Amino acid sequence: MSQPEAHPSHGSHSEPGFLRKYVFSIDHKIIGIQYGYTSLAFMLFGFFLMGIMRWQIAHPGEAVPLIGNFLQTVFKDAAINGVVSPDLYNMFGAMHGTIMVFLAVVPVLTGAFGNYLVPIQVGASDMAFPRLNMMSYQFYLFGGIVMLASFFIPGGPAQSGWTSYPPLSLIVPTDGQTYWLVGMVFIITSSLLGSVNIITTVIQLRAPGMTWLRLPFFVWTEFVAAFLLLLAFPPLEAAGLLQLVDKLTGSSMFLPTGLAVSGAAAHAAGGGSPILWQHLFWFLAHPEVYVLILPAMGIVAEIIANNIRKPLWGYKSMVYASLALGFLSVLVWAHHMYLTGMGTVIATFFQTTTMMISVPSVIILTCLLISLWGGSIRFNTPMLFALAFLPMFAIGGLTGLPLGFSASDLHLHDTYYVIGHFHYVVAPGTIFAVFGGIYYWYPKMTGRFMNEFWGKVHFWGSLLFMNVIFMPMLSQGMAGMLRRMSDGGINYALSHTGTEGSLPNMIMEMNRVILWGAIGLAIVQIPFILNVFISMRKGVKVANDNPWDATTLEWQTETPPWVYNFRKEPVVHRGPYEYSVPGFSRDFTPQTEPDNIGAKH
Amino acid sequence: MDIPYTSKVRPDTGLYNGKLGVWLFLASEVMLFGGLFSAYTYLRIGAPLDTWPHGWMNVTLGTINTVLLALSAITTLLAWAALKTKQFGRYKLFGLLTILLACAFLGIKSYEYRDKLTHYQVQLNDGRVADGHLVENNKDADYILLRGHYAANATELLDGRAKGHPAHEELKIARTDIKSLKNYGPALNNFLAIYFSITGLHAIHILGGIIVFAYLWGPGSKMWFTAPVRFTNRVETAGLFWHFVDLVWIFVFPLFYLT
Amino acid sequence: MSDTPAKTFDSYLRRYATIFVVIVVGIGLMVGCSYSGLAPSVRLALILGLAAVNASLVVCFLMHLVTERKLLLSMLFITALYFVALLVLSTYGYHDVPHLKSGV
Repeated sequence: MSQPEAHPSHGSHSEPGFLRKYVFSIDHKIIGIQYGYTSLAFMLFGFFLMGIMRWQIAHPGEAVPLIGNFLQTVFKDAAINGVVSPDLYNMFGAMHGTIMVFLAVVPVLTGAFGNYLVPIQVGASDMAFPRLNMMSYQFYLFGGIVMLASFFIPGGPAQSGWTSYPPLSLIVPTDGQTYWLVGMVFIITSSLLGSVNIITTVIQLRAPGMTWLRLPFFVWTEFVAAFLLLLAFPPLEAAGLLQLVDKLTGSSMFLPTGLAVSGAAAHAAGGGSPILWQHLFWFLAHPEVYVLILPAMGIVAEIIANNIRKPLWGYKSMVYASLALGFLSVLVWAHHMYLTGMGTVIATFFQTTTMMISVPSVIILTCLLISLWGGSIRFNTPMLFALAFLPMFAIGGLTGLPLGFSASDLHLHDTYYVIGHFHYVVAPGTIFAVFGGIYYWYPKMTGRFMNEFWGKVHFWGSLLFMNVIFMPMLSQGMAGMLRRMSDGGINYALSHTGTEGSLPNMIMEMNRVILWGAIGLAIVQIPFILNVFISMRKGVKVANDNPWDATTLEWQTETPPWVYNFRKEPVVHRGPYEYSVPGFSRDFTPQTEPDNIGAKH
Repeated sequence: MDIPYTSKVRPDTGLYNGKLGVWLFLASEVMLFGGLFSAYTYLRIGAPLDTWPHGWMNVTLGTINTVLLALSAITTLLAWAALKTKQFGRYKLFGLLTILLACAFLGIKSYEYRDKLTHYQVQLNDGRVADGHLVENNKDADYILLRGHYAANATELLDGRAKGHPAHEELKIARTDIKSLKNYGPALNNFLAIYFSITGLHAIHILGGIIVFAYLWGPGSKMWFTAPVRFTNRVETAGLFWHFVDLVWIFVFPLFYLT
Repeated sequence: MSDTPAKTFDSYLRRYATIFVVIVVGIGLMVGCSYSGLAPSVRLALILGLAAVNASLVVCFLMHLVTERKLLLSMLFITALYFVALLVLSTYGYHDVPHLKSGV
């Protein structure tokens, strides 16, 4: 093992060209920013699809204002005179879910924040496999392009929901589903490469002194989320490949015996099982929820710890809770399947694990809440988003409990209650954490602050309109409004007027309230988007490299960080949240500060 | 600024980056094939009575392939051991052997595929089934030629090892007698669908392994003269992947060929 | 390094050749089982048992897992556990259906 080793490529110090630097970069920070822009663009697009759907729900059969003609040009028969047809509604529904989950929120958390921050926070010069990191982004981008391309093929994109349940997904006679499956294979490959990279980086590239329990909580959550992506995604890839085989070769692994389509017997060899798809799909899709929420909790923990100026309460409990959360999240998937006629034994198992998993979530939330106690809180924009995350995620989490019990789930399954529940987790939950993270780390990435006033406008507006959108959904769902009705339930309500179980006017009126909420939410995103771009040139410059007086390693290097992050390899001497430690003159003690020097300040 | 532990072992974890990365990749692969094997189990136990075939695969060819793959797993290790003991010539020999064995595996596999895809089950209007390899299917002719035998119904064909099938002969079947004509492709039944899915994905893995080994044998082997430890590690990690591919086959073989 | 120090090429060769012979014997037994007259369920169990033995030989000795550290082993243990959970729970879910139990 003693021969001198030459490292051929990575160490070249010459200035790279434009393509190498910005397009085919292997610098984790550039890749993180690429991920960030791409995923936020997808998020905006997914939001735009949702806006059109909300219009159709509130005003069924009326032409979409402003862009009706455009819709007709692109989708032809599916949008005659600019009116959203049920088919188009299904396409938008499927693509909204797919884009938001797989192309927007997961990539922004693990691709953008994970890529940019994890190597710096553990004290590494880059990811463990920089080239794989670049490939990971390219696979993601390509998968996204395949998904987008499916909007322009005859028949349009997939229209069987983001869950792509067979037999529906297999019998819809367009190629949209094939595009969806191929796109998913690329996205899954991308997340595989990304998660291998993050796990290896955390395990192998921790700086000297960076022991496991000195890792910032954000790194822990990324680590656990990467494991979930690594181990839970492949069964969906397997299922996707099988569905692709079904779709392309005419086999029938997911088509049941005796299936009839439009009154005629379907061409199926028999013996296939749609339930098999649901098992394989939810084996990913439930852990995916924790991929969506864990890094968000990590971001919130970083922001809160920094702005309360005292250590997080129960850091170790939070770490163990996140590990427990990750472990259990893979064993709860069939609580999405109570309505498939499953027996009591298996339902009991999944109810039990589902209730168990709420314990570590509550531990993390409680630790964050108790941390606030007695802190001298700085209410800046990132902190406002982080603080709002707590009650919003709590609403999302608690409304999930009735869905975890099979008895109450039988009523609530596939209603707007479910939509309200998981959007509370993801929209004012995770996306608020993403916003908070952007405001918080923006000064490190650019050297300038984002505008505080417009940040607060963005925050209060978003908080208000998120609740205007999602709170009524919980009531609509409990009243029995189903989630996939393209007319917002109006035909159902009219045909059952006055009968027990019908949808009363009050519930139907909420559809219009939600539309106004969605329009308002769109408007308050404008200051945010402008803020991001304008602040790059006009924002207040940071006074030093550590403008928030933070302790973790990313603030102990220059702004923006040098291409290999640290001019000198950092040595870590303490835990991540040593704020207001007695005996130190400053109210924060960076992780790099040795004991003997710090005491002299 | 180099990334640490690309070839050296990190003392507290006992791993170099590449090895950890490959193991993580393999963990993911375990779940990928795990999903497929779960699907196989689910489809098999869920198959309606008397619809799951047995003994449809050529055990001789399957056994040969299993042994070939096991042998190639050994030769990858010997290639690596040759580098460990600094015998580059021996590395070249065993590396080449590995590639050849893998190609032989793929050759036999594609012969089996071809055999299945030219094998037809012809449902006749009188309820009988003609089963055999298609000899002639000229669009202009009003008959097809099949080399095989007749059976009373498709269920009779489910046990490929059953005794007493009539001897194979050339059957001339008029097109007017044919209700449906299906080859032994994925659409015939779920056994073949999952067989083609799993072995197809496995074959893609074999192909990927061949590309990696060919690179490490050809242009990539120059690294031996500049960074021998790193090159040895590369061969080791490629070997780990190859053993996993072998591992999958160890289960594919009994599930499809023997039970 | 990760493997136990076997200094010469021949010692590697001897070790791996032994394992290869054992694996081939396992393959032979599997094929033999398949053609034996045992009851189908016994045959299935025996064949899969032999496959598991072969697989563990590959994992432990050819992939050198016996010499790896706890960190890697625990990650692979969790992976194995998830695989078993997926296989067992989905299969069990298939059987645990009310109408199958009542025999309708």
